[in-house]
Amino acid sequence: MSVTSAPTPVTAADAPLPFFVRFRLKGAPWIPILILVLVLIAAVGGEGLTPHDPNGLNLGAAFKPPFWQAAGTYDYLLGTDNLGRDVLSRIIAGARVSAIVALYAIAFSGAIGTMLGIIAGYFGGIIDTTIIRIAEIKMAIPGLALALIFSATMDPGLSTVVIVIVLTYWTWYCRIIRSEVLSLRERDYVSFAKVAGCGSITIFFRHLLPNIFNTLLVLMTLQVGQVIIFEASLSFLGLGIQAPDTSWGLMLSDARQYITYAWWGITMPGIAIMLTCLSSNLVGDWLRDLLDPKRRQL
Amino acid sequence: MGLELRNLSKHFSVRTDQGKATVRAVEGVNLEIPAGQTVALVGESGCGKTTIAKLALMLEQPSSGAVNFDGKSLGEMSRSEIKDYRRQVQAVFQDPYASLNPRLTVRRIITEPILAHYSPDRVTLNARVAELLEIVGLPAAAADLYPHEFSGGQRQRIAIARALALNPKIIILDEPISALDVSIRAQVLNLLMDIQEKFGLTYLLIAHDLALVEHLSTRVAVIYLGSVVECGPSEQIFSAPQHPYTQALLNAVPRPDPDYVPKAADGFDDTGSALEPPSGCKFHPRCPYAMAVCKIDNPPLLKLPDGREAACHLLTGPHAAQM
Repeated sequence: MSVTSAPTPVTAADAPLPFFVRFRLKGAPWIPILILVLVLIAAVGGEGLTPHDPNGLNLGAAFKPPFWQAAGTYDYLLGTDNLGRDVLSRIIAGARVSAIVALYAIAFSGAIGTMLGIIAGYFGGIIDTTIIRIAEIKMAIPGLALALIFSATMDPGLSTVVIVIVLTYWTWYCRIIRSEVLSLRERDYVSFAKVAGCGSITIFFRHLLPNIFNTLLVLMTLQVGQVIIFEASLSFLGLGIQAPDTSWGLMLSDARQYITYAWWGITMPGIAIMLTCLSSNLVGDWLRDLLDPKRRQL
Repeated sequence: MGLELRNLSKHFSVRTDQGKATVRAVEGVNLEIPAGQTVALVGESGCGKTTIAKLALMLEQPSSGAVNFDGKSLGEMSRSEIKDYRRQVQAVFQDPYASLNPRLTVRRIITEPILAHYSPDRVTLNARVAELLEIVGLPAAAADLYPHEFSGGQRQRIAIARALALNPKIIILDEPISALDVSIRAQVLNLLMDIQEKFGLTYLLIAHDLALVEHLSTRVAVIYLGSVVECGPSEQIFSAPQHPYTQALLNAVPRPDPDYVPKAADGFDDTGSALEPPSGCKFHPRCPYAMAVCKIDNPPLLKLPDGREAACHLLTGPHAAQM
């Protein structure tokens, strides 16, 4: 900018574009998006999409390998398990549990943890100490021990899994968001908003929430993987989803004892878990960049 | 319609190795900021300048004493009076990189104070944004950009536009140009002077840059460890500083003269601490003229014959003749 009066000319190219133009699809992680869409379709479509009944026993067809192996058939693309159930069908059916657990658990633990974190960080003092002490007490209890208590007192199943995960993960959000807010509330633009006469609610939603959004998004997408694996561990231990329902974790658990001669039974749901986690992390990174004005490429 | 600090104190309790202690950040400050003038607070870092600004902006509550606006203490104001005070008193902060929310467009940044008090229609609001941007010398198209798309000087202009949005009477300038490049300081300084003249603003200027203070202010208050040690019209203070601390402060200003050899700053290695302020006059451990009485008695801020005020045993009371 030149001295005194002449400001830098702002050209037409600098003017903002409408959001849909700005929402550039070039450079989007298409493969991860595709994988997540497939998982969602599987979760919504469920048993309507499966080539076989996911619970249909066919002992004559037990331990069929995937189609590309000599003994495999195109009828069972990813092979069958010890009871002759189609692995592909069970993965599709299990996607519903994984998706439901991930969505609910992340939504609730994220909302509870973020709100408590903002309140603790913004108000400080005794409110902060109370919330953080509760979070620390919770963190001293191992997640699986908590899960054991809950499944002993409640019926094991989908809702118990979600409750256990929410109770386990809210502290995660709470602590990280609190520390972000601690630094944000000292920013001059928060001071200025107070000087301008804005109330706490306005400051929350205009200055704090958008600026912790990056962190929140990264935490949430990282948590997709952790939640799916947590659900898998609970189901693996028999504390989560109960047969005849299925989930990816339960499939791992069922197929574990046959791993030496039917590797596909445990590998295929494992790959499904891995791809879903990886995809959600990559899509999360992309979304974070897309929504950050500094990184937005025009 | 000025601002008045009456016996203002702000103490913070902190935890140290020896247990709890009190930091006396601001201690019994009396200061008037008459309408239309620029009063500067100068002093070293940590002397309490910014705390005074925060007290005046109601970002902190005083431990004792009061900030009076229109003769009324901020602590006794009703909700609607506070809202009115918020309209009258605005601020520009030091770091233009920290004072603008990176997630908001310039338009939303500038309209924030307006929307906190009024609900104008879109056309009026946009016209006001364009007007404010023009005042601070930015193009109207800047309204839809984000802060990171501007340089430091341009960002500070945005911050000034935001401070002007409500047509305030008083603007508190906390180190308004010290974070900027030397090359653009003059422009922002000129802008501040222009808008003061145009809108009849009152400034409370917090600065450590004495050249800026000399240029901008009509009155100067020199702060040492939370208390005013010398206060008076700008020309008086700069042409003939009376308090030893003011003299030392002015002496420390670099001069554009290669042959100038600064006087040795004897005894100036010991920076005072607001945590354990020295007894008597807080400046005595660093003062080249310290006398026995300085260690015992804290000198009051008294009027000197030429109208300024100073707090020093050398200048007032029975010891005055020795200077």
